[in-house]
Amino acid sequence: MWLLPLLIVATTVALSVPMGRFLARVLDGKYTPPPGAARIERLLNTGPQNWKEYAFSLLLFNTLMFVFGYLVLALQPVLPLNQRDAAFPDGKGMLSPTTIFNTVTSFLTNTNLQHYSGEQHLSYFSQLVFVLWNMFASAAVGFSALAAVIRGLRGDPDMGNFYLDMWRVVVYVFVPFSLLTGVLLLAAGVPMTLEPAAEVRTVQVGAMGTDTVDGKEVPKPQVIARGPVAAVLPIKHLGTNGGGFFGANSAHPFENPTAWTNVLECVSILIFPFSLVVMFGRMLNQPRHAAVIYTVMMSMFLAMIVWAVHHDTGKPNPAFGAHPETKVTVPGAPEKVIAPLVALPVDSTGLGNTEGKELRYGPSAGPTFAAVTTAVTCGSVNCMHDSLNPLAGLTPLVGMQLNCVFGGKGVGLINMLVYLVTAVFLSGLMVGRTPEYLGKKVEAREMKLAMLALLIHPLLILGPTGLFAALDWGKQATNNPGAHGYSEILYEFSSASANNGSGFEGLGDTHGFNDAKKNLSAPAPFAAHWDIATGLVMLLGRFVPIIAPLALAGSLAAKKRVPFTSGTLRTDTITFGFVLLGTVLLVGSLLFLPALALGPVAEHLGPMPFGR
Amino acid sequence: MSNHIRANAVLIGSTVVICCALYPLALFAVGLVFPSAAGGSLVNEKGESATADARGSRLIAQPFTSDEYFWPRPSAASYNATASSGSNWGANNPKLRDRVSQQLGPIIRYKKGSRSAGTGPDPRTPQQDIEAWFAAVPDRVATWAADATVGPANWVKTDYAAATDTAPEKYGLQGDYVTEWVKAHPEVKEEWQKANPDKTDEPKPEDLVALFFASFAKVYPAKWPGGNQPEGKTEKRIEPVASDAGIHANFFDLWLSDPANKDRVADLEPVPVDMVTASGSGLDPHITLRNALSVYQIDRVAQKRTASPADVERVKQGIAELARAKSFSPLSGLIGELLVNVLELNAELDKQFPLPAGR
Repeated sequence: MWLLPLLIVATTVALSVPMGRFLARVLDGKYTPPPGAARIERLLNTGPQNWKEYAFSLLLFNTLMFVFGYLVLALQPVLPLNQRDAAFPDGKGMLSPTTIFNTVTSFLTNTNLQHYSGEQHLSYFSQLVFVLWNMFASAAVGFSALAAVIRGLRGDPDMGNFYLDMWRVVVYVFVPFSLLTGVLLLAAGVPMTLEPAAEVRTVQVGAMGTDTVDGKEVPKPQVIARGPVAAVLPIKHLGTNGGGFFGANSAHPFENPTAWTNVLECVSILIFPFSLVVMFGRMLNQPRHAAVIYTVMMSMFLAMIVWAVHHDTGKPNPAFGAHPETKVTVPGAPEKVIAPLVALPVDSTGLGNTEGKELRYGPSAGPTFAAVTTAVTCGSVNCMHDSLNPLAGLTPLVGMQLNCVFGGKGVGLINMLVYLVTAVFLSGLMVGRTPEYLGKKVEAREMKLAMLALLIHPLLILGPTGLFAALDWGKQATNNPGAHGYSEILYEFSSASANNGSGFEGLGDTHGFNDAKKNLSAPAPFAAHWDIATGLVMLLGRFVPIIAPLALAGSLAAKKRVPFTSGTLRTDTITFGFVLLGTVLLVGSLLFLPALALGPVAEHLGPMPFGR
Repeated sequence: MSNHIRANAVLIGSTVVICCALYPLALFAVGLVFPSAAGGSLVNEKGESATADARGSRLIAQPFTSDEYFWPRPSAASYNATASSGSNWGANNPKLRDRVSQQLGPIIRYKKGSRSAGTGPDPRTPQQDIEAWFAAVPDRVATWAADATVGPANWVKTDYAAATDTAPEKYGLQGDYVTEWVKAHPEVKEEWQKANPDKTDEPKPEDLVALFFASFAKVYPAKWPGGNQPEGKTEKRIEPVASDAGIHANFFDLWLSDPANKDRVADLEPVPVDMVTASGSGLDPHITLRNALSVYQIDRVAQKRTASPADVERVKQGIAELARAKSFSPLSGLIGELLVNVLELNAELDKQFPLPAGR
């Protein structure tokens, strides 16, 4: 049970040190460009940029990404590589406009919240050009932003060049490692084809039902969707994107065929977020400080995994267990007695809760993946988080709400730096000294920017959750009763604001094709509301926490360095590690604890088959 | 500004070419080395890689419903490999417990030689006990329909098709039966209208389900509206019956909860959890070896694949050997339970233990 998470974390930690050094070299420009690339680099290099120019370039590029993405998706029916198969004889149509808006913002913000289902709604062209390009580019945006912040913190005169950073990250980092991962995945059984869905006769004749053709009963074939999956999968994880080729994401046997690919996918989700901390220490030349951050993040991360595995694999699904009689007494209301339930004769020994999980990854793979994917805001899933045991469902929620346990491509570490500045400020005030970070004074302006970056996150989660939970928009979308339905809404907005993209996927938010007749299932009643609300949350949740720290770093960079004295608060000690951990947990838990108590905790304490 | 435009154009242009053309093309080239995997691991009936005349994909679960095959895990996606999905039901969802107990009711067994099963050659089954328990109270269906939250409404909405732009909503056999019943028994509708004076539109079958069963129990005490297929007809009909899989499925949970049956519950043979829980993709091709070797799978399969009853034990041994030989544990044996691939196991079964003639 514990071997799998141990294997994943140990492998990644071992790989992260050399990888971090490699990343620092690339982003500091200490490499010889391959032939031909030097010319492109010259064309890209618009010269050194200060934080405002850097932020402007970043926003301009993202605006163009939006236009490009919207065009590709809107023109899907007329573009090439639109496969026609038994399920879709006319090829894939155009998605509803709000879904396109949601999907485009989702992919450009590195969220990959999917209000569509990959195999049903996207053509191979959309997968290869829209999805693939956005996955490479949006991951590199966060990466570049982090590099710029680091340059600001170490006091460089400029913050580098956005376009050049993007090029380096995409071409020298993501493409080679994607290629390597892609080959390994292909060898393990992930498909890579442009042929339409396969039609097979089932082994038990007529098992899929029968069709009547010319008055005769003919057995229906099984139609198996496939496609260029092996190209999308590597960058989906390396870029912590998480947008699945298929609706079931990494739980689908074509996306994740064996236990080995499951380990490979976990490692490739974690490798860059782990290495970025190493790169941070390397670029700042402060390895001890980076080690403190690494340890703080790692202790939170391990706690998340242990919690999830213990409550999910270690315990059977409470729905099948016995429940004593419960009396619900609310003052002023008639007493309600919930009848006792006898345990169903189901044997879960060694497997724990298997609803929504695949067997081939091993019993603890589901909760481990849930912790991994939400700690680093990847959003890919290999089990249905909706069906996790109630308390195990806390792990993904907490991971997204803290949003700094390693965190997504660059942005997670940026969030951690904001917490760090806050921790420095708090401890500085406690001992009555002007707080300093890396030899620069932290003053009112920096704190305002840090608070802006910090507080936008809970605001974007709790505000819309409250709104949707109170209205029919939310109530009609949930597919589980009571507290769990509320968790679904909370999860959706946590996922959007943290730019994670995973979901308590029971939520009804899919409209599908604009032409509703072509959909395999009826559109959800409030799909458009969900599309627009989460779209806006994703945009704000992405760009405010990038721009504000850029400004913060820019403002610190402009300050004079104060000399290091015996009274300076050291940021590379164990004590400071505890201060940092305390700040993250206190700020994070105080903000979200009430919301969590209403969701998973209430579900855990309530009668299990609710409403009986 | 002009240099920004130039840089953006160069950046977008070059990365689109590299990421969306060169990179996938390189992987397509690698795919030529692994043709089977690249095409979706399709296999023919012998279990060999094949593209023409494929009978399935090694990685995708297929439904097996006949008694002579091992059954895969239940699928929330109905094994539709163009629309993968899980049930997404949380532990507090009564639908989850309902689905599992409905699945358990018709298959559950007593442990061999236990008090409840008896020692005779044909042991007593829980199904007989459920039916006896059901018949003991004439209006059991009425109480069930009034108390349960999910079951009765689900029963009415079996095979229900929601309205689309082109077709109106359509109820299945059971929903239609309720509609017909209400026409023949106008008092059901009157009673509903009396109870819901504020509702003006026509009641739907799911609104009337509790009243329908109350009325049904009066006309046919201790009977259940079961689906019957008369000899020589393809169409099913609903008829009041005293013995039906519907009774086992719908009343299993209640039978279990009745304190009078405490002893019998203790004698039930436990069911492997993966036999009753749906996978995340709905397409999980594996079951645990424990599941395959349980009385719920191998006994049934062996029974069907044996010509004479005397041979059952030998065939069962042979099939168990085969299942063990086909089993593997994930991560090359490092973690977890022994698993078997249902499709490969069943294909091999057809080869080594063909169905005896005449069965």
